[in-house]
Amino acid sequence: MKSYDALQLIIVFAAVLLSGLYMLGRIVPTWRSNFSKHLQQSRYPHWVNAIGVAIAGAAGCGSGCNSCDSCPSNSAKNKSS
Amino acid sequence: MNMSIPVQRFAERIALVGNPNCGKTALFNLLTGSRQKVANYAGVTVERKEGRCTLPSGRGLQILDLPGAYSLSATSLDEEITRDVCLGRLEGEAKPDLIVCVLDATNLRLHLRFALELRQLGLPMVVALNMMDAAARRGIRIDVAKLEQMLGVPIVETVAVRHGGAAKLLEMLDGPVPSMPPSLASDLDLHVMVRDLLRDAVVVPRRTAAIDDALDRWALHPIWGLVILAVVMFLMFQAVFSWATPLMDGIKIGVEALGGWVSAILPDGLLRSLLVEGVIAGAGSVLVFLPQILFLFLFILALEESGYLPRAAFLLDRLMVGAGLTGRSFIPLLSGFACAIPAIMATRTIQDERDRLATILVTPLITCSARLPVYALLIGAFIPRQTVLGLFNLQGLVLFALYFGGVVSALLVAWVMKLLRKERVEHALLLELPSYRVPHPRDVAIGLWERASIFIRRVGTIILSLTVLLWFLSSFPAPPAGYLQPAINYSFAGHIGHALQYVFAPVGFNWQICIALVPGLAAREVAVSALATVYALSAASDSAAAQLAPIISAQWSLPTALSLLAWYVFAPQCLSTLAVIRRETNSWKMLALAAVYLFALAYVAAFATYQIASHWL
Repeated sequence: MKSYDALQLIIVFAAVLLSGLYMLGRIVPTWRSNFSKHLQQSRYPHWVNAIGVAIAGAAGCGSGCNSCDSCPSNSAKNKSS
Repeated sequence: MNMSIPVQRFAERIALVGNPNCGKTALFNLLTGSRQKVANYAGVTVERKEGRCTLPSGRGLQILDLPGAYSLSATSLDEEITRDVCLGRLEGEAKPDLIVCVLDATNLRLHLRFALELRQLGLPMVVALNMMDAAARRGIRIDVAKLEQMLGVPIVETVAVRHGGAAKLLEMLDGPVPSMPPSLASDLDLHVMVRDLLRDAVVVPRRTAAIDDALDRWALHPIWGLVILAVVMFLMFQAVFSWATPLMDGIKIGVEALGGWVSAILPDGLLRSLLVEGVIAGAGSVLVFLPQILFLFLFILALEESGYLPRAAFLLDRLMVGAGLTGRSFIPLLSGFACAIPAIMATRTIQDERDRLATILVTPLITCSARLPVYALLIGAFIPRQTVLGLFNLQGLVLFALYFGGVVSALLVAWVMKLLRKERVEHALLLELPSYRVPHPRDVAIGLWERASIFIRRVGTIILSLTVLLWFLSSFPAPPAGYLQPAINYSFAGHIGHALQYVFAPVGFNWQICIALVPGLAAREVAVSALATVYALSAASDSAAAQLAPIISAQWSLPTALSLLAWYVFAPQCLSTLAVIRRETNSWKMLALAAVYLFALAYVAAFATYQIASHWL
């Protein structure tokens, strides 16, 4: 039963963490790219830089925009001069 | 001997340009396989859309779908985007290699003028003569070869709504870019040239279709037109409640069965609580409303396709102007029944900046589909399912009243803004009335599928995430041993709910509603899932998880339910809407104004409703 208790704690913790990160992405859509840039600074060890690269790769389409219309890359192009 | 061989150039980037409602987006969807929104009225596309298509030779082609414009002398924000892309003025956007000028073959009198203006740009150009099937049905005969010769650019016939209807266009795009059209005299009168083109190359038996004229005699009648509009809207809300019930019951049974099954196979503990009281009770309670949303959109999509909406805008112009808006505000406001975000973006078609601003500020008052689960839950719990006058569903009547209340409050707020405005210039409504069209079942089915996907995606992402977070906040910290009240009272969420109750007690909200309002700020329907989770965690048995409506009808008073309904008519419980107001107005001040006035209205309305209902009911 102890192993089941540990397993359910891990699952619940992961679900809450992922939900929190998802909502953070909704509220602050640029957090992931900013965080990834921060982790890729040369003052950090290589493995931290690698995590930064992985986070940047995971961003992109669907990473916190409300829709394609509100995607920063699209909306910038939709502003008239 | 030196001989210069002309180098054949192939287009890599083309732009679809033309008047509004000529079928550019339908053509874009056909070429790229996209599913951008199309409808039978002007002003559906207000942004540039980008897509790729593969030509018969296997070569890739980038395609831009631009908002419709009547002229390159732009008068609204959406027209400015089209002008800037065509002139290569848009930052980070190269001029297209080729312009595909899309013309509505049934309305060449209007559309040819813009084609001539585009031709004056001197860019390589192809004309897509769209809706050729509709033109043939109306007996319009076009001498394409003659028109091609007179315009000086290649012309292809297309039917954008038919599979394979753009085959000739694809063939042409696969070939080398046509040479620049010969320049036109700078002092050329475009209207005179359009008249010449029509005289020499086009035979139009009558300007408008006979069926359109016959229908418009009723639809645009100052009295019968309004009666028809009221009946259409009324039927829509009756159907939402009457037709959707069996499907909703089916989903409800499925959610309950899933909750029961998970409870049976998992031992009591955190994981079971998360799945049953959090995920299934929360997300499941929102998923139940999918059929009602789909029936609402069935009507909206059919109306959009039919060409009736611009007629409704025309009918309501006087009312709109009286309230300080313009007839042009009607379509954005009507889009607000689906979602406030595209509705606010659709205000780009409004030329006058003050009219546009007023429309943006009142759009959140229009009842969007995210409010439907909240309304449906409360109506289902508190309004008996009975027939009025032997014909009308009472629940449908209440829903209609809530939607009507949203529209009336939007007009009232606009009227107050008009009183506060110093400048009171009224702009005449100039609106293009498209031909009536029988909605194509395939297009409506695709539209419904899109709406269902969007709703299910929302349930699976934002609603699920917030439900999990709320479950966490409602479950931790765990109460100490010997704590006699429900554990949720001791949790973070319990403390937040009790603290907020000081503010909301005058409007009759209990602490459970106060908890639901917080995650409900992100999206309105989250309030339903939040209530389901909170009550599931407060309940003694697991079976309570999927029984939200009976629980609230037993625990809340009718004044509390009515007060919450009044709150939801006005409150801007949607962060995305506030964000898009900020983006479209480019002003934090406007965002603050919208948030403050909407929350203030919501509080005052809920307070008045609760106090009056407590005394009289």
